[in-house]
Order: sequence, then C-alpha cells, then structure tokens
Amino acid sequence: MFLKLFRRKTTLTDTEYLSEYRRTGDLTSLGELYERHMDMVFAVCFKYLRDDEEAKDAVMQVFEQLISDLKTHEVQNFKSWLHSVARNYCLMQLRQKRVTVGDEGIFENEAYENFVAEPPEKEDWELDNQLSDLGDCLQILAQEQRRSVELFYFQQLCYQQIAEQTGFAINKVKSYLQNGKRNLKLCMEGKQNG
Amino acid sequence: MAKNKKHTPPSTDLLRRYVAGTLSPMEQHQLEKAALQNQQIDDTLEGLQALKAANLDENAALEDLNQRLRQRVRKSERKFLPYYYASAAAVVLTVGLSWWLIQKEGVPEADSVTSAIAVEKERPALKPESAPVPIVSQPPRLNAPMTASRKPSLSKPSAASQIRESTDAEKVQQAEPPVPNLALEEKENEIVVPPTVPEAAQTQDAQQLVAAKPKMFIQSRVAAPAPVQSTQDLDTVRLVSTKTKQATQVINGAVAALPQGRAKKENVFVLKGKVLDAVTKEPLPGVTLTPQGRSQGATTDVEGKFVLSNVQKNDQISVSFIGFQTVQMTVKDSLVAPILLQQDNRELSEVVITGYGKNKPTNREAIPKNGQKSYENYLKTLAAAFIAQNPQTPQGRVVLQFLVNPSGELSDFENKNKANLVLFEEAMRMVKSGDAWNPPLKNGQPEVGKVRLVIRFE
Repeated sequence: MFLKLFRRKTTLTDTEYLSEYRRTGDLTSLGELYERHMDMVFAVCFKYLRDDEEAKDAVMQVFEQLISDLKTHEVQNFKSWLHSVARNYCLMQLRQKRVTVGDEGIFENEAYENFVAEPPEKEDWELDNQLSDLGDCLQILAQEQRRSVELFYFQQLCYQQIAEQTGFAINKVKSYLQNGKRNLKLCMEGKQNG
Repeated sequence: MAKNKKHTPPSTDLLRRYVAGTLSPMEQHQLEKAALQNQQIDDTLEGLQALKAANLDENAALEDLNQRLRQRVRKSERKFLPYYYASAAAVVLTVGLSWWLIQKEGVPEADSVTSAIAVEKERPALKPESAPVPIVSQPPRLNAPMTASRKPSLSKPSAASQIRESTDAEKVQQAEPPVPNLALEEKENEIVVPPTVPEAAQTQDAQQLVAAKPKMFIQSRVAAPAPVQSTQDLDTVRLVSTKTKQATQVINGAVAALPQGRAKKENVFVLKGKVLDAVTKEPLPGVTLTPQGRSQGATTDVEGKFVLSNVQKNDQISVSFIGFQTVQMTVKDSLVAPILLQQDNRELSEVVITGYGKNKPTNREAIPKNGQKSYENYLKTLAAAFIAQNPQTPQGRVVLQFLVNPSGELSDFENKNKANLVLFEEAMRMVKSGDAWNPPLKNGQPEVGKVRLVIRFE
C-alpha cells in the first residue's frame, strides 16, 4: 500500500505517461511505462507460448504494436488493455502456427465475468429468492464442482487446502470452480427468467 | 483487507509470492478469487507458474527484455537526435529550390551571361566548391540561360521577381557563405572593366566561350547564384549589362546556336537514393530497383544506398525486396527522399489445386438462338393466336421434324404425325419466321442436326 502511494508521488501514473506519449510521441516515456508492466506481459506471453525466447520476442512485438496503437487509441485502463493486446498477439501467433493448446478455458471468456461482485442494492426478498435459487442450483452441480465451490466460496479455503481435503488434483480444482461457477450462473439466470 | 482486495488487483509481486508459496491460505484464497474474476490476473499467474514449472529464471529474462527495450527506445531516439542533419538538408533544399525557381522565372538574361563570363574567366576552379548537391545536370538549369538568352528584349525583370531574388539571395548567403562571396567579388571586379574593354575583345571572349561549349556551360550554370547576391548588385550588373549590350548580343547569338540536341541528352541523369524499412527505418541492402521498360536495374548496398544511371524524368521505377511490398515510384528529380518499404505480412497462402473441367461443351444439340424457353413461349403464343384467328380449323397437334444444317438454315420439314395440313403449314411458317437455330456441334464442329418439335394448336 505504502509502496503504491510512494510510487504515485514520485513517478507518473499510467495515464500521465500515456498522455505524455500521445502529446510528444517520445518513446522514452512509453518505454518507461512499458517497463513497469513488462513482467506481466512476459508472464502472459509465456503462459500462451511456453517458450522463453518466443515470449521475449512477443514482448518486444507487443511494444512495437503499442507504439502505433497508442497514438490513435484512447486507453482508460492501461494494464488490462495491455493484457488483452498481449493475449491477442499470442493467440494470433498460436493460430498462425496452427498449434492447439490443451489448456482448457483459454478461449472462453465467460468464466471470468463478475460473479461475486454483484451490485449489493437488492431487496431482501430478492436476495432470499436468489439464495434459495443458489441452494437449488448447487444441488444440480456435479459432485466435484459442488464441493469445490462450497469449500472455496463458503469456507474460503485456497486451492491447496481444497486439494488436500478432497484429494482432487490442484489444477483440477480450478477448472471445477470455473465450470461450477458458469453452471451456477446459467442455472440462476434460468430461474430468474422463469 | 478482504474488501480492499476486491478493488485493487493484486500486484505482480504478490502473484510471485503466491507462486513461491509464501502466502497464507487466506491470502491464497483471496488471490485465487481475484484470478477467477479477472483474466489478466489469471493469465499472469498461470504464466508465472509455467515459468516456475519450466524452471526458467524470470529475472534474467526480464533483464534481457529491459535491455532490448532500452535499445529499441534509444534507437528511435537516435533517429530524432540529429536535428542539424535535418536543418542542413532543409537549407540545401530551399537553396536548390529557390535557385531553380529563379532560373525558371528567367533571370535577366544579360546579367546571368555576363556574370557567368566573369566567373569563367577569373576562376575556372570555382565549380567543385560552389556546386550544391543537386547540381548534377538538371535540365531546368540548363534551359534557363538558354531560353533567357533567346529573348533579349526582356532585359528588365519585374519588380516582383526582384524582390524574390533578393530574399532568395539571403538564403543563398546563409547556406554557403564562402564561395558565393568570392564569386561576388570577382564579379564586381569584372563588372568595372567591361565599358573600357574594346568590344572586339569581348566578342572574342564570347566566341572562345562558345567554342568551349560543354564544360563551360556547366560552369556558367554553377556560377548562376552569383548574380542574385543582392538587389544592389543586380542593379550594378544591369547597368553594366546595358553598356556591354553589343557584346552580350553576340554571345546570345552564339549561345542560341548551340546544338539543341544537347538539352535532350542532359535530361538523362543519375538517380541516387536510399531504401529503408518503413517501420524500423533501417537501411535495406539488396533491394532491387528496376526502371520500367528496361532490363538493367540496380540493387542497394549494405547501407541501403543505390545509384541508378540513365534515368529520365518521369521514369517509372519499381522497388522490390523479398518480404516487402513492392513500391512503384516516378522519378521527379535526381535526388529522391529515402524510399520506405512496408513489410509484407501476408502469409504464403495454402496451395489450392483445382481441377478444371472444360467449360465449353464441344458437343451440343441444335438449339434456338434465344434459348429453349423463349422459343417455346413463342410457339405457344403464335399457336394460340392462330387458333383465335381461325376458330373453324380443327384443333390438334403437329409433330414437326426438320433439319438444321451447319450454317443454321432449316430444311426438310416433315409432318411426322400426319396432322392437318393447315396446321402443318402454319407450324412450318411459325418455325421459319421464328428464332434462328444454332446447328448442333460435334467436337466443336457444326453439323447437320435433326429437330423434332411438338406444337399444340388447342
């Protein structure tokens, strides 16, 4: 927290860097900004490409893309925008190579839609209804998904602990959670719409 | 704390600690929850985990990346740095341009010729120093003195052009102070002399000059900036020029007699330039430049430079390089701006092998010119009209057979079903006056075909 405050005071924020770059076209400012997020970009690129040299090249290519894109685009949230640029670039690379990646969930975005952060201003009866719906829906879920969701969201355990308690593989826990969440959401929407 | 987490996404450092396994279960849970909601976090986390699984040193990679990034940034900085290059280029350009303009406008002809002589006599070695870059045989510059000298009646320049000359002259002075000054001094010296020099001597000079045509002419062009040093100078020169009118007229005559063919030859010049990558601005070696309609081209050297001889104005030159988009350019001047090539990102497309059937049938039945459908309609309407007009004729159908010969003529009509003769005659008339027929084809050759039509008169 302190670190964040400290940073803000001494250095420019992302937005300031961006407007600076758009005004002057000076690559130094863009370079500094990019340096900040490069670890993220590198990690993302490595996740998709699974090769450090390729990932490095991708990081540099993404920077080249920024040079031209940021001149024309108005970007609000730089970090998430940068993430999608990097992700799209990597997916494009993979598509060009015609390599299929076995990692499930790479091409689905819906799993990430905000599920927990629902707007809080709901009537009590509405909430009651939703809770009962949730109970019903939980029963529909497959056994592994239900246990994972319960342990994760109700008991607030981490993957490690869930894996220990249930004996599921740790990377399975995550996909159970993602799929369980999606199924729950579909089920709840179905109930609300009748 | 928990609530805080929801709004501020965890930093990459936190993610690293998660991967390293130094977080408490509660913190892990918070992070996992955030990752489930935010794909950016999820991707980063998975990337870090993958890095760890692959046993790769993230710091070393980042260090390397930082270096590459700085290099990249510095490289483009270097591009911005040499302002003096840009300004020098701008000055040279303006000087060249203004000079060209002046010459084109038609500088007072007597002035340019006299001053040219002055410089010529005193300083033949002036050329290499004073020559600004684009001097290499520019057709307009050659033509200017010639055309000017062809119309001696226009001896006084307009006020407007005087002003332009003076402003341009200032620029010239700025750009190349040493040499033009020299020329100026010499010109002044020379200018004082002419009135006292016998006319004969002048004429002789002029004749010698003309005798030395090619070399000298270039030099006189070189000396051309001299007359435009300042308006004051211009005035003195003009003053002198009227005094030496006779001499100059002799020169004019001589100059006008110069072979016209040379102007044509001078249009051919040498084109020099550079080819760069449009994105990285790096020189591209080995780029091929081919003037259209000629086989001999040029390629760029290691620094991306090329020299292309025998080029004419408005020549089309195609600039191509593997992996880059080919550019067509039209020659305007002996100097070209750096040619930028765009990378060609097209992938090589997959090869599609298609088998083509013959699209023109070589065998064909005899058919009416406008197609079967319209022919049928035609027969129907005519048959109906006939029935309507001749209600007393017995109705029925006619099976009509005839031959279509290779030239499309119809013959040998036969009444195949022995139908009523009136109907048969009518059917024959209809067919004969209807659409023409295309003969049948066999192996592409027309031949005689037999056609059988059924016409209903009902």
